[in-house]
Amino acid sequence: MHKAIRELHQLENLAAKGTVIHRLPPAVKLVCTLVYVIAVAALGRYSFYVLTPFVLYPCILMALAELPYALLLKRLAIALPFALFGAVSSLIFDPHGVLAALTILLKTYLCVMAALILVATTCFTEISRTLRRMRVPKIFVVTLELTYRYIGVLLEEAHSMRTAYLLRSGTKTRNLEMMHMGSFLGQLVLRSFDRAERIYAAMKCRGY
Amino acid sequence: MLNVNNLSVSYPDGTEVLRGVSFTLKRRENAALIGANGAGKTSLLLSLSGILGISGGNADACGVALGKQTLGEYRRSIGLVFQNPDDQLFMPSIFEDIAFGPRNLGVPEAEIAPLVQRTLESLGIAHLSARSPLKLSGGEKRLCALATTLAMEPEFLLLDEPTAFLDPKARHNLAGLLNRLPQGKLIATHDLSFARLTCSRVLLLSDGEVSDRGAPTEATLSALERELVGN
Repeated sequence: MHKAIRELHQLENLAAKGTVIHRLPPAVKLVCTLVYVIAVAALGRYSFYVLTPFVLYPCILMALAELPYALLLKRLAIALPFALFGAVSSLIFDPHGVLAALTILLKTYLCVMAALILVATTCFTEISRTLRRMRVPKIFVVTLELTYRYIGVLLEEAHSMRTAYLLRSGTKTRNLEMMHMGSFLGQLVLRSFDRAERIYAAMKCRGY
Repeated sequence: MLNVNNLSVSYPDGTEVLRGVSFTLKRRENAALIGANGAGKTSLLLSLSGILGISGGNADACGVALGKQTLGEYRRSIGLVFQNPDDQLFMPSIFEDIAFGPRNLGVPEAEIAPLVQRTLESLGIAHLSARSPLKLSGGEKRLCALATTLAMEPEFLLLDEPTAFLDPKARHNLAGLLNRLPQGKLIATHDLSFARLTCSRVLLLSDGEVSDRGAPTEATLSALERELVGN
Protein backbone atom coordinates (compact mmCIF):
# COMPACT_ATOMS: atom_id res chain seq x y z
CA MET A 1 0.00 0.00 0.00
CA HIS A 2 2.80 2.31 0.97
CA LYS A 3 4.48 1.38 -2.28
CA ALA A 4 1.36 2.30 -4.24
CA ILE A 5 1.32 5.76 -2.62
CA ARG A 6 5.01 6.20 -3.42
CA GLU A 7 4.48 5.15 -7.03
CA LEU A 8 1.64 7.66 -7.36
CA HIS A 9 4.03 10.39 -6.20
CA GLN A 10 6.72 9.07 -8.58
CA LEU A 11 4.35 9.34 -11.53
CA GLU A 12 3.54 12.93 -10.48
CA ASN A 13 7.23 13.76 -10.10
CA LEU A 14 7.94 12.41 -13.59
CA ALA A 15 5.51 14.96 -15.00
CA ALA A 16 7.67 17.75 -13.54
CA LYS A 17 10.71 16.94 -15.74
CA GLY A 18 11.73 19.26 -18.57
CA THR A 19 12.38 17.12 -21.69
CA VAL A 20 11.22 17.93 -25.23
CA ILE A 21 8.07 15.86 -24.72
CA HIS A 22 7.31 17.49 -21.36
CA ARG A 23 7.62 20.93 -22.93
CA LEU A 24 5.11 20.19 -25.73
CA PRO A 25 1.77 22.01 -25.29
CA PRO A 26 -0.62 19.78 -23.27
CA ALA A 27 -3.33 20.08 -25.95
CA VAL A 28 -0.98 18.55 -28.56
CA LYS A 29 -0.16 15.61 -26.29
CA LEU A 30 -3.79 15.09 -25.36
CA VAL A 31 -5.03 15.10 -28.96
CA CYS A 32 -2.16 12.81 -30.12
CA THR A 33 -2.94 10.34 -27.35
CA LEU A 34 -6.65 10.37 -28.17
CA VAL A 35 -6.07 9.88 -31.92
CA TYR A 36 -3.55 7.12 -31.23
CA VAL A 37 -5.84 5.25 -28.80
CA ILE A 38 -8.83 5.53 -31.16
CA ALA A 39 -6.73 4.31 -34.11
CA VAL A 40 -5.42 1.31 -32.14
CA ALA A 41 -8.86 0.43 -30.77
CA ALA A 42 -10.54 0.77 -34.18
CA LEU A 43 -8.31 -1.78 -35.93
CA GLY A 44 -9.78 -5.25 -36.49
CA ARG A 45 -9.67 -8.14 -34.04
CA TYR A 46 -6.97 -10.06 -35.98
CA SER A 47 -4.81 -7.03 -36.80
CA PHE A 48 -1.81 -8.14 -34.77
CA TYR A 49 0.70 -7.65 -37.64
CA VAL A 50 -0.76 -4.28 -38.66
CA LEU A 51 -0.46 -3.17 -35.04
CA THR A 52 3.23 -3.98 -34.62
CA PRO A 53 4.56 -0.68 -36.08
CA PHE A 54 2.43 1.14 -33.48
CA VAL A 55 4.88 -0.12 -30.83
CA LEU A 56 7.29 2.56 -32.05
CA TYR A 57 5.10 5.31 -30.57
CA PRO A 58 5.54 4.38 -26.88
CA CYS A 59 9.19 3.40 -27.45
CA ILE A 60 10.18 6.68 -29.10
CA LEU A 61 8.18 8.84 -26.67
CA MET A 62 9.60 7.08 -23.62
CA ALA A 63 13.14 7.49 -24.91
CA LEU A 64 12.62 11.19 -25.65
CA ALA A 65 10.87 11.85 -22.34
CA GLU A 66 13.47 9.81 -20.40
CA LEU A 67 10.80 7.77 -18.63
CA PRO A 68 11.77 4.70 -16.58
CA TYR A 69 10.40 1.64 -18.36
CA ALA A 70 10.02 -0.46 -15.20
CA LEU A 71 7.72 2.00 -13.42
CA LEU A 72 5.34 2.32 -16.37
CA LEU A 73 5.27 -1.45 -16.88
CA LYS A 74 4.28 -1.91 -13.25
CA ARG A 75 1.41 0.51 -13.72
CA LEU A 76 0.47 -1.38 -16.89
CA ALA A 77 0.06 -4.55 -14.83
CA ILE A 78 -3.18 -3.10 -13.38
CA ALA A 79 -4.86 -3.44 -16.77
CA LEU A 80 -3.45 -6.91 -17.38
CA PRO A 81 -6.14 -9.02 -15.63
CA PHE A 82 -8.85 -7.51 -17.84
CA ALA A 83 -6.82 -8.07 -21.01
CA LEU A 84 -5.95 -11.63 -19.95
CA PHE A 85 -9.61 -12.41 -19.39
CA GLY A 86 -10.40 -11.22 -22.94
CA ALA A 87 -7.43 -13.09 -24.37
CA VAL A 88 -8.33 -16.39 -22.67
CA SER A 89 -11.95 -16.07 -23.85
CA SER A 90 -10.69 -15.60 -27.42
CA LEU A 91 -8.48 -18.68 -27.15
CA ILE A 92 -11.51 -20.73 -26.15
CA PHE A 93 -14.24 -19.29 -28.37
CA ASP A 94 -12.49 -17.82 -31.45
CA PRO A 95 -11.49 -19.99 -34.46
CA HIS A 96 -8.32 -17.87 -34.87
CA GLY A 97 -7.86 -17.74 -31.11
CA VAL A 98 -4.11 -17.22 -30.86
CA LEU A 99 -4.08 -14.27 -33.26
CA ALA A 100 -7.13 -12.66 -31.57
CA ALA A 101 -5.63 -13.16 -28.10
CA LEU A 102 -2.31 -11.60 -29.15
CA THR A 103 -4.17 -8.67 -30.72
CA ILE A 104 -6.11 -8.01 -27.49
CA LEU A 105 -2.92 -8.09 -25.41
CA LEU A 106 -1.04 -5.81 -27.81
CA LYS A 107 -3.95 -3.35 -28.05
CA THR A 108 -4.14 -3.16 -24.25
CA TYR A 109 -0.39 -2.62 -23.99
CA LEU A 110 -0.43 0.17 -26.60
CA CYS A 111 -3.48 2.03 -25.28
CA VAL A 112 -2.51 1.89 -21.61
CA MET A 113 1.09 2.86 -22.41
CA ALA A 114 -0.12 5.87 -24.42
CA ALA A 115 -2.28 6.99 -21.49
CA LEU A 116 0.54 6.42 -18.97
CA ILE A 117 2.99 8.38 -21.11
CA LEU A 118 0.52 11.27 -21.27
CA VAL A 119 0.15 11.27 -17.47
CA ALA A 120 3.91 10.91 -16.91
CA THR A 121 4.77 13.83 -19.19
CA THR A 122 1.93 16.24 -18.41
CA CYS A 123 0.99 17.70 -15.06
CA PHE A 124 -2.58 16.63 -14.22
CA THR A 125 -3.87 20.18 -13.71
CA GLU A 126 -2.68 20.96 -17.25
CA ILE A 127 -4.64 18.00 -18.60
CA SER A 128 -7.85 19.03 -16.86
CA ARG A 129 -7.39 22.66 -17.87
CA THR A 130 -6.92 21.59 -21.49
CA LEU A 131 -10.00 19.34 -21.36
CA ARG A 132 -12.00 22.28 -20.05
CA ARG A 133 -10.67 24.51 -22.82
CA MET A 134 -11.60 21.83 -25.35
CA ARG A 135 -15.19 22.18 -24.11
CA VAL A 136 -15.39 18.70 -22.63
CA PRO A 137 -18.56 18.77 -20.43
CA LYS A 138 -17.81 20.06 -16.93
CA ILE A 139 -19.26 16.96 -15.26
CA PHE A 140 -16.65 14.70 -16.93
CA VAL A 141 -13.74 16.99 -16.07
CA VAL A 142 -14.82 17.39 -12.43
CA THR A 143 -15.35 13.62 -12.09
CA LEU A 144 -11.87 13.00 -13.48
CA GLU A 145 -10.33 15.60 -11.17
CA LEU A 146 -12.09 14.21 -8.09
CA THR A 147 -11.05 10.65 -8.96
CA TYR A 148 -7.44 11.72 -9.38
CA ARG A 149 -7.45 13.73 -6.17
CA TYR A 150 -8.99 11.01 -4.01
CA ILE A 151 -7.00 8.00 -5.24
CA GLY A 152 -4.20 9.20 -2.97
CA VAL A 153 -6.50 9.95 -0.02
CA LEU A 154 -8.17 6.53 -0.35
CA LEU A 155 -4.80 4.78 -0.53
CA GLU A 156 -3.65 6.59 2.60
CA GLU A 157 -6.87 5.69 4.39
CA ALA A 158 -6.52 2.02 3.41
CA HIS A 159 -2.87 2.16 4.46
CA SER A 160 -3.62 3.49 7.95
CA MET A 161 -6.48 0.96 8.36
CA ARG A 162 -4.09 -1.82 7.37
CA THR A 163 -1.47 -0.57 9.84
CA ALA A 164 -4.07 -0.50 12.61
CA TYR A 165 -5.12 -4.04 11.64
CA LEU A 166 -1.59 -5.41 11.56
CA LEU A 167 -0.67 -3.81 14.89
CA ARG A 168 -3.43 -5.76 16.59
CA SER A 169 -3.47 -8.84 14.40
CA GLY A 170 -1.05 -10.68 16.65
CA THR A 171 0.39 -12.63 13.74
CA LYS A 172 3.57 -12.07 11.84
CA THR A 173 1.95 -11.93 8.39
CA ARG A 174 2.35 -8.73 6.45
CA ASN A 175 -1.02 -9.01 4.78
CA LEU A 176 -4.67 -9.14 5.66
CA GLU A 177 -6.14 -12.56 6.22
CA MET A 178 -8.81 -13.58 3.75
CA MET A 179 -11.44 -13.95 6.50
CA HIS A 180 -11.03 -10.26 7.46
CA MET A 181 -10.93 -8.97 3.90
CA GLY A 182 -14.73 -8.58 3.71
CA SER A 183 -15.10 -6.36 6.75
CA PHE A 184 -11.95 -4.43 5.85
CA LEU A 185 -13.21 -3.62 2.34
CA GLY A 186 -16.73 -3.00 3.66
CA GLN A 187 -15.36 -0.50 6.17
CA LEU A 188 -13.35 1.20 3.42
CA VAL A 189 -16.44 1.49 1.20
CA LEU A 190 -18.48 2.94 4.09
CA ARG A 191 -15.75 5.46 4.87
CA SER A 192 -15.60 6.39 1.20
CA PHE A 193 -19.38 6.92 1.12
CA ASP A 194 -19.15 9.16 4.18
CA ARG A 195 -16.29 11.09 2.66
CA ALA A 196 -18.12 11.43 -0.67
CA GLU A 197 -21.07 12.94 1.18
CA ARG A 198 -18.85 15.43 3.02
CA ILE A 199 -17.08 16.39 -0.21
CA TYR A 200 -20.42 16.95 -1.93
CA ALA A 201 -21.47 19.15 1.00
CA ALA A 202 -18.21 21.10 0.65
CA MET A 203 -18.89 21.53 -3.08
CA LYS A 204 -22.45 22.72 -2.46
CA CYS A 205 -21.15 25.25 0.09
CA ARG A 206 -19.03 26.71 -2.68
CA GLY A 207 -21.82 27.23 -5.15
CA TYR A 208 -21.69 23.92 -7.07
CA MET B 1 -25.84 40.08 11.17
CA LEU B 2 -26.47 36.32 11.37
CA ASN B 3 -29.78 35.70 13.11
CA VAL B 4 -30.84 32.27 14.25
CA ASN B 5 -34.35 31.93 15.69
CA ASN B 6 -35.75 28.81 17.28
CA LEU B 7 -33.90 26.56 14.85
CA SER B 8 -34.67 22.85 15.03
CA VAL B 9 -32.98 20.04 13.16
CA SER B 10 -33.91 16.35 13.05
CA TYR B 11 -32.05 13.46 11.50
CA PRO B 12 -33.87 11.34 8.90
CA ASP B 13 -34.50 8.67 11.57
CA GLY B 14 -36.48 11.22 13.61
CA THR B 15 -33.83 11.97 16.28
CA GLU B 16 -34.09 15.64 17.18
CA VAL B 17 -30.53 16.99 17.42
CA LEU B 18 -31.27 20.73 17.76
CA ARG B 19 -34.33 22.02 19.62
CA GLY B 20 -35.07 25.69 19.25
CA VAL B 21 -31.57 27.13 18.93
CA SER B 22 -31.48 30.95 18.99
CA PHE B 23 -28.56 33.38 18.88
CA THR B 24 -27.20 36.27 16.85
CA LEU B 25 -23.71 36.84 15.51
CA LYS B 26 -22.63 40.34 14.56
CA ARG B 27 -20.22 41.22 11.78
CA ARG B 28 -16.61 41.22 13.00
CA GLU B 29 -17.63 39.26 16.09
CA ASN B 30 -16.00 35.92 16.98
CA ALA B 31 -18.09 33.48 19.00
CA ALA B 32 -17.01 30.06 20.25
CA LEU B 33 -19.45 27.17 20.05
CA ILE B 34 -18.65 24.73 22.83
CA GLY B 35 -20.34 21.40 23.46
CA ALA B 36 -19.68 17.76 24.23
CA ASN B 37 -19.00 15.20 21.49
CA GLY B 38 -22.26 14.47 19.71
CA ALA B 39 -23.96 17.62 21.10
CA GLY B 40 -24.75 18.73 17.54
CA LYS B 41 -22.09 21.38 16.84
CA THR B 42 -21.35 20.07 13.35
CA SER B 43 -25.08 19.62 12.66
CA LEU B 44 -25.66 23.26 13.63
CA LEU B 45 -22.89 24.44 11.29
CA LEU B 46 -24.17 22.22 8.45
CA SER B 47 -27.75 23.43 8.88
CA LEU B 48 -26.61 27.07 8.98
CA SER B 49 -24.85 26.41 5.65
CA GLY B 50 -28.04 24.96 4.16
CA ILE B 51 -26.58 21.46 3.84
CA LEU B 52 -28.70 19.84 6.52
CA GLY B 53 -32.43 20.63 6.22
CA ILE B 54 -34.07 22.39 9.16
CA SER B 55 -37.30 21.10 10.66
CA GLY B 56 -38.36 24.28 12.40
CA GLY B 57 -37.47 27.91 13.09
CA ASN B 58 -35.52 30.16 10.75
CA ALA B 59 -32.18 31.85 10.12
CA ASP B 60 -31.04 34.78 8.06
CA ALA B 61 -27.66 36.20 7.10
CA CYS B 62 -27.36 39.88 6.14
CA GLY B 63 -31.14 40.00 5.68
CA VAL B 64 -31.36 36.97 3.35
CA ALA B 65 -33.41 34.14 4.83
CA LEU B 66 -32.23 30.53 4.81
CA GLY B 67 -34.72 28.78 2.52
CA LYS B 68 -34.97 26.77 -0.67
CA GLN B 69 -35.64 29.77 -2.92
CA THR B 70 -32.92 31.98 -1.48
CA LEU B 71 -30.31 29.30 -0.77
CA GLY B 72 -27.84 30.48 -3.44
CA GLU B 73 -27.90 34.08 -2.26
CA TYR B 74 -27.87 33.05 1.43
CA ARG B 75 -24.80 30.84 0.94
CA ARG B 76 -22.85 33.71 -0.57
CA SER B 77 -22.59 35.27 2.87
CA ILE B 78 -21.72 32.04 4.70
CA GLY B 79 -18.40 30.20 4.43
CA LEU B 80 -18.06 26.78 6.07
CA VAL B 81 -14.60 25.41 6.92
CA PHE B 82 -14.75 21.65 7.48
CA GLN B 83 -13.04 19.82 10.31
CA ASN B 84 -10.99 17.66 7.95
CA PRO B 85 -9.28 19.71 5.21
CA ASP B 86 -9.13 16.59 3.02
CA ASP B 87 -12.91 16.85 2.64
CA GLN B 88 -12.64 20.44 1.55
CA LEU B 89 -9.65 20.30 -0.78
CA PHE B 90 -11.04 18.18 -3.59
CA MET B 91 -9.28 19.54 -6.68
CA PRO B 92 -5.88 18.37 -7.95
CA SER B 93 -4.08 21.64 -7.13
CA ILE B 94 -4.54 24.39 -4.55
CA PHE B 95 -5.00 27.00 -7.29
CA GLU B 96 -7.83 25.02 -8.91
CA ASP B 97 -9.41 24.43 -5.52
CA ILE B 98 -9.50 28.09 -4.56
CA ALA B 99 -10.76 28.98 -8.05
CA PHE B 100 -13.62 26.44 -7.76
CA GLY B 101 -15.96 28.60 -5.65
CA PRO B 102 -15.48 31.94 -7.46
CA ARG B 103 -15.93 30.16 -10.83
CA ASN B 104 -19.26 28.76 -9.61
CA LEU B 105 -20.26 32.27 -8.53
CA GLY B 106 -19.67 33.44 -12.10
CA VAL B 107 -16.48 35.45 -11.54
CA PRO B 108 -15.00 36.10 -15.05
CA GLU B 109 -12.03 33.85 -15.89
CA ALA B 110 -9.69 36.86 -16.26
CA GLU B 111 -10.28 37.84 -12.63
CA ILE B 112 -9.79 34.33 -11.22
CA ALA B 113 -5.97 34.22 -11.13
CA PRO B 114 -5.55 37.63 -9.39
CA LEU B 115 -8.29 36.72 -6.90
CA VAL B 116 -6.65 33.38 -6.04
CA GLN B 117 -3.25 35.08 -5.73
CA ARG B 118 -4.66 37.81 -3.46
CA THR B 119 -6.35 35.24 -1.22
CA LEU B 120 -3.21 33.12 -0.95
CA GLU B 121 -1.06 36.17 -0.20
CA SER B 122 -3.44 37.36 2.53
CA LEU B 123 -2.80 34.05 4.32
CA GLY B 124 0.92 34.03 3.53
CA ILE B 125 0.75 30.82 1.48
CA ALA B 126 1.29 32.09 -2.09
CA HIS B 127 4.04 29.48 -2.57
CA LEU B 128 1.50 26.63 -2.28
CA SER B 129 -0.54 27.66 -5.33
CA ALA B 130 0.66 24.95 -7.73
CA ARG B 131 0.99 22.20 -5.11
CA SER B 132 -1.21 19.15 -4.78
CA PRO B 133 -3.14 18.88 -1.47
CA LEU B 134 -1.74 15.36 -1.11
CA LYS B 135 1.72 16.70 -0.33
CA LEU B 136 0.87 19.42 2.19
CA SER B 137 1.29 19.36 5.97
CA GLY B 138 -1.73 19.54 8.29
CA GLY B 139 -1.17 23.26 8.98
CA GLU B 140 -0.80 24.09 5.29
CA LYS B 141 -3.94 22.13 4.43
CA ARG B 142 -5.88 24.01 7.11
CA LEU B 143 -4.85 27.39 5.67
CA CYS B 144 -5.64 26.26 2.12
CA ALA B 145 -9.10 25.05 3.21
CA LEU B 146 -9.67 28.47 4.79
CA ALA B 147 -8.47 30.14 1.58
CA THR B 148 -11.01 28.21 -0.55
CA THR B 149 -13.77 29.74 1.57
CA LEU B 150 -12.28 33.25 1.85
CA ALA B 151 -11.96 33.52 -1.94
CA MET B 152 -15.76 33.62 -2.06
CA GLU B 153 -15.71 36.69 0.19
CA PRO B 154 -18.30 35.58 2.77
CA GLU B 155 -19.58 37.82 5.56
CA PHE B 156 -19.53 35.00 8.10
CA LEU B 157 -17.22 32.07 8.64
CA LEU B 158 -18.35 28.86 10.32
CA LEU B 159 -15.33 26.86 11.45
CA ASP B 160 -15.60 23.25 12.60
CA GLU B 161 -12.80 22.31 15.00
CA PRO B 162 -10.20 24.54 13.31
CA THR B 163 -7.42 23.44 15.67
CA ALA B 164 -7.79 19.71 14.85
CA PHE B 165 -4.54 18.28 13.38
CA LEU B 166 -2.53 21.42 14.26
CA ASP B 167 0.73 21.67 16.21
CA PRO B 168 1.06 24.46 18.83
CA LYS B 169 2.78 26.86 16.42
CA ALA B 170 0.23 26.38 13.64
CA ARG B 171 -2.54 26.74 16.24
CA HIS B 172 -1.02 30.00 17.50
CA ASN B 173 -0.68 31.34 13.94
CA LEU B 174 -4.26 30.38 13.15
CA ALA B 175 -5.50 32.27 16.22
CA GLY B 176 -3.66 35.41 15.06
CA LEU B 177 -5.06 35.01 11.58
CA LEU B 178 -8.66 34.53 12.74
CA ASN B 179 -8.35 37.65 14.88
CA ARG B 180 -7.20 39.66 11.85
CA LEU B 181 -9.90 38.47 9.43
CA PRO B 182 -12.84 40.88 9.33
CA GLN B 183 -15.64 38.28 8.98
CA GLY B 184 -17.95 37.33 11.84
CA LYS B 185 -17.00 33.85 12.99
CA LEU B 186 -18.70 30.97 14.74
CA ILE B 187 -15.94 28.63 15.90
CA ALA B 188 -17.00 25.15 17.01
CA THR B 189 -14.20 23.87 19.22
CA HIS B 190 -13.26 21.74 22.21
CA ASP B 191 -10.16 23.83 22.69
CA LEU B 192 -11.17 26.24 25.47
CA SER B 193 -7.88 28.14 25.51
CA PHE B 194 -8.19 28.66 21.74
CA ALA B 195 -11.69 30.05 22.37
CA ARG B 196 -10.13 32.44 24.86
CA LEU B 197 -7.50 33.54 22.33
CA THR B 198 -9.96 34.21 19.51
CA CYS B 199 -13.48 34.82 20.77
CA SER B 200 -15.35 37.55 22.61
CA ARG B 201 -18.32 35.32 23.48
CA VAL B 202 -18.94 31.69 24.34
CA LEU B 203 -22.07 29.77 23.31
CA LEU B 204 -22.71 26.41 24.95
CA LEU B 205 -24.62 23.80 22.98
CA SER B 206 -26.16 21.24 25.27
CA ASP B 207 -29.32 19.11 25.04
CA GLY B 208 -30.07 20.59 21.63
CA GLU B 209 -30.16 24.16 22.90
CA VAL B 210 -27.71 27.04 22.88
CA SER B 211 -27.05 29.22 25.91
CA ASP B 212 -24.92 32.36 25.86
CA ARG B 213 -22.21 32.24 28.53
CA GLY B 214 -20.74 35.67 27.88
CA ALA B 215 -17.07 36.56 27.53
CA PRO B 216 -14.52 33.70 27.80
CA THR B 217 -12.92 34.80 31.05
CA GLU B 218 -10.89 32.34 33.08
CA ALA B 219 -13.78 31.93 35.54
CA THR B 220 -16.31 31.28 32.76
CA LEU B 221 -14.08 28.74 31.04
CA SER B 222 -13.22 26.80 34.17
CA ALA B 223 -16.91 26.68 35.12
CA LEU B 224 -17.64 25.43 31.60
CA GLU B 225 -14.93 22.83 31.80
CA ARG B 226 -16.31 21.51 35.09
CA GLU B 227 -19.76 21.38 33.53
CA LEU B 228 -18.49 19.46 30.48
CA VAL B 229 -16.44 17.04 32.54
CA GLY B 230 -19.48 16.44 34.71
CA ASN B 231 -18.48 17.49 38.22
